[in-house]
Amino acid sequence: MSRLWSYLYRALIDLHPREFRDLYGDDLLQTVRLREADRVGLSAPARLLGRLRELSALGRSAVSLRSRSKDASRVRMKRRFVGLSSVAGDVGYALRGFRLAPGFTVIVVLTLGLGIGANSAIFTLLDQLMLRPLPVRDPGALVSLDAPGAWSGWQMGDARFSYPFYLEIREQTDAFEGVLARYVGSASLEHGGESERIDAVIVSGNYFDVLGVAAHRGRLLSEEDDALKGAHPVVVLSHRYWLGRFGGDDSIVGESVRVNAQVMEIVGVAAPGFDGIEVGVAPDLFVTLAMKDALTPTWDEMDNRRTRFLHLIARLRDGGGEAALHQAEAVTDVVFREISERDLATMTGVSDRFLESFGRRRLELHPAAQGISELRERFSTPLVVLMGMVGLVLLTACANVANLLLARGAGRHKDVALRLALGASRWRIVRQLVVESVLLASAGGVVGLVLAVWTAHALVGALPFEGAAATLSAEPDGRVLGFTLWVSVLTGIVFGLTPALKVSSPSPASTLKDGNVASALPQARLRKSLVVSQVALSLLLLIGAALFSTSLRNLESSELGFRPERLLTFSVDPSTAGYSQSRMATFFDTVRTDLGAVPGVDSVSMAEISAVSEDRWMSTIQVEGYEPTDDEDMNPDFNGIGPEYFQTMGIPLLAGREFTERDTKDAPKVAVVNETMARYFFGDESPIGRRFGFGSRERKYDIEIVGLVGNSKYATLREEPPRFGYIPVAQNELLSEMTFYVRTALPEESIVTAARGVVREHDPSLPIFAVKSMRTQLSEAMFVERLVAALATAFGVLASLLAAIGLYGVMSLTVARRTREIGIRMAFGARRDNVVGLVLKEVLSLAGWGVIVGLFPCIALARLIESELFGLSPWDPASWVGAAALLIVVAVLSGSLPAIRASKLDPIRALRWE
Amino acid sequence: MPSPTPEAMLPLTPLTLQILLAMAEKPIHGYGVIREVAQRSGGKIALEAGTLYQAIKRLRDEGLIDFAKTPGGDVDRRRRYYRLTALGRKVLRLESERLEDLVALARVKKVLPQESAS
Repeated sequence: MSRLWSYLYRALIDLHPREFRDLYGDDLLQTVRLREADRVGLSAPARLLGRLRELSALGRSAVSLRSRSKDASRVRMKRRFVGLSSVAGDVGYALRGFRLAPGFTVIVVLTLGLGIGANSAIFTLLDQLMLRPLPVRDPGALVSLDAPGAWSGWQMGDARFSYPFYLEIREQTDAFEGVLARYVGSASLEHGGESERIDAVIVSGNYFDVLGVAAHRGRLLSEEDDALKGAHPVVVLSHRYWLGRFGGDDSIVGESVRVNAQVMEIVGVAAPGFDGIEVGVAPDLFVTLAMKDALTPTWDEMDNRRTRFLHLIARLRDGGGEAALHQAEAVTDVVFREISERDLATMTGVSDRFLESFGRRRLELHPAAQGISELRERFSTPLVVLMGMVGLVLLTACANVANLLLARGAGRHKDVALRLALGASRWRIVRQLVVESVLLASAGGVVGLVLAVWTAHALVGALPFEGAAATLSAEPDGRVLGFTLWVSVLTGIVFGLTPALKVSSPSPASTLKDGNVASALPQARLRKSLVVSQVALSLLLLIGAALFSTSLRNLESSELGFRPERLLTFSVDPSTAGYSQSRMATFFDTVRTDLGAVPGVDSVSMAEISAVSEDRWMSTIQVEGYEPTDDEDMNPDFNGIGPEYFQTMGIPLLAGREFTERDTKDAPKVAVVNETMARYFFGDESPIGRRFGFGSRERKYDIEIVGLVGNSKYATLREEPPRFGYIPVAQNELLSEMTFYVRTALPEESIVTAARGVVREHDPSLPIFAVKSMRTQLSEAMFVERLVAALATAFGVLASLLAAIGLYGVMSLTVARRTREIGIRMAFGARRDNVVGLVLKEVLSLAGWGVIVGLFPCIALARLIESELFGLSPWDPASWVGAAALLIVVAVLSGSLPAIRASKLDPIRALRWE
Repeated sequence: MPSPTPEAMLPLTPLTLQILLAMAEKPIHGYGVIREVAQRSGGKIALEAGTLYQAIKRLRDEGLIDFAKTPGGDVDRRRRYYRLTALGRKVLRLESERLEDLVALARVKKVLPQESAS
């Protein structure tokens, strides 16, 4: 925060004349800093007020000293009235004008501040997620490798490459200056007797070299560290983790830490600001692939061509650019085909269809200057939609301010006409008016920046993604400041130019002669079209808000299939502490039993895949008596669960039984399936007693289905219930992370301590993580939807409010203009309600035109957000009609005040009115 | 342009008077002026740095104040000390006398209570 303010202070001090700065600049800055330090203890509003006063004093002093230093050489009269020959003079003139109309100034600055602030806040997020390049050497030359298409084997997330593939592509092509590989995992790190769960990035030895990242302390990882499996137990800390965990202590370099079961030496700290290549993932630690066994003790897969767990990033040899990228794609194609042949040789029993599809795979290179990001993929459409929305809000604000300026301009016709008559050129007057609007917009920009920092803080703080909040910053940096400045100036020109041209156009002779309001008549049409466009923009925003809110409501009320109330969840991962499979199984069982004995706990169970957290486990199966077609998807979702799972989760058991303590490793293998799975494979017949087996080749139906349960949500809230099978944890062979579910009669928070105690009792060094109530978990799963719905609604309301103000202003003017006409009508017998009707008819026609004009961009909007909506069509009539109706009501309300005023006119006085 | 006589500079604006008073006893830096003015007025006058330095420049241009040697021989260019010049002291005294006369007049006119003869 203080960085922003000291930047602003310095900018304003720099605006003072040179001779002042030379003598007093440093001293003044020092004093301002001391005053800033005084404000530390104040409340946030008091601090803000103090800072704004300081800024305004600095601004006034800069302007006054500047204009005074020019005074000496110019004749005051000429400068002030006709000439205004310097922009500084224009600024001074404008500031005097603002002082004379404080209400106008405050309203304009606040209106613009809201508009600009909303833009800067959304831009702060958009920039970091989508636009900002990685803090590495020449990021433009980085490309990420991808090879979509058919694959037979194991794949983690969206990783697409095996370790053998990595070794071969890096050996066999010279299209790249270097290729790096990385895998993200978590581990438990112990130092000084305290262990915690951390995010580790496992990388090839050339990782830092290829990226061109420097060491902040000590050294980084090298090819040599990665040369021999297990030979170099060294780690590099990220700068953020070094500061957070070790307080930026230099002596930590060279010390040992225990990562899972392995003692490793800290050899260095990476450069500040470097958070790896994935936006939204905040690595604490970097380790070489040669040490992968220590990080992932449960699986190796380094020699398996069919296990894809690595992301590859390469640096192009001849720098970035579309052409270089395509050339590299062409060069690597041959090598890729050769490697694919070798991959294919390890896949047996594949169908012709698969072969054909596998043969179509290509190695794709994508620009990776901004790194890679799953968060980005998830957020990019919502963020672009939001950015568009705030842009529209700003446009509405501009229309309002333009309207205000026109109204103000009407009062200044005489002034302008006089200056024209005295020989000022029209350009000069336009320039002065535009300077005035740009000044207003800049003040709005400062207010907006403050609002933006607050909003962005709130937004980043609310992000429910571990790591995201750490890597995303709400601090405005040079880019955000630049963006705000650019938007402010542009805004000033957009809303200022039209009124300026209008105001400066009257014929001096006629205006000087009578100078009454009639001379403002030509502007009425312009003001009306501004209001029509405001209504149109508001309609767009309101329809968006209605669609997003309905979508969120649908999501919230969607059938979960389980009871989320009073359900606590948390996770542990003993594999990171070097547990063997059998020790893990015992550990899970004891924790489960002990938790069940905690007072207030109704039932306890556990699952390997935690619910609604976007994790999934799919496996290929063969079902007895079911003959799949050649390319049929035989990969239902699975989860390993403990006894009493369905009872604990509140998932209805429709037939058969739950797993019990008797379903042990050595007992007959059993499974429970959901309705979708049962219907898919067995139609209307009962699935109980039917058999299936894992794997695609051998037909071994060794698992018996013993239960049928209702459908529920698994990975995400948006999904249609997939085919889903459950198997007992005890009969699964590869245990690692486990999520516990505790059903309680008490509030969830009240048993958190007891739950932690139970785990600690068995292993004090094992971190427990993701402790939250199921309600929290669900609301985090809906975070994007909640954010978009809330912001869209706020923007919609804001824009409608601005439109209402604009409408009110225009109708007031219209009534004033038609006073005479209304007087005549009343004199001829028009009743008061006729007059009200007359005015409201005009209001309705303005709003109606706005709605009609607004419908066209709405069609484009609907297409854009179609994929973001859940459970409703973008053409949802209720949303469209509701938004339009709401706008009409708002319009009538804002027009009724001028209408009533018109109806209360005294006909006699109205007729005399000039 | 010859500098005007001290009398011609009267009356002083309240702000100028406050600043000159803050410098009356000993050299003081800008931040010190702000603090002293705030303390003496019980927090009622919050002087902003921008306003102060604008005034400091004007007062120095008019010859009422000047840079002072930093006490203790410290020559930190970033933190400047200011002192009254002979002219400044004279103007401050004249202004104080003028105010004293005004206060006396206020007593005669019974706007303020008569000072007890002690």
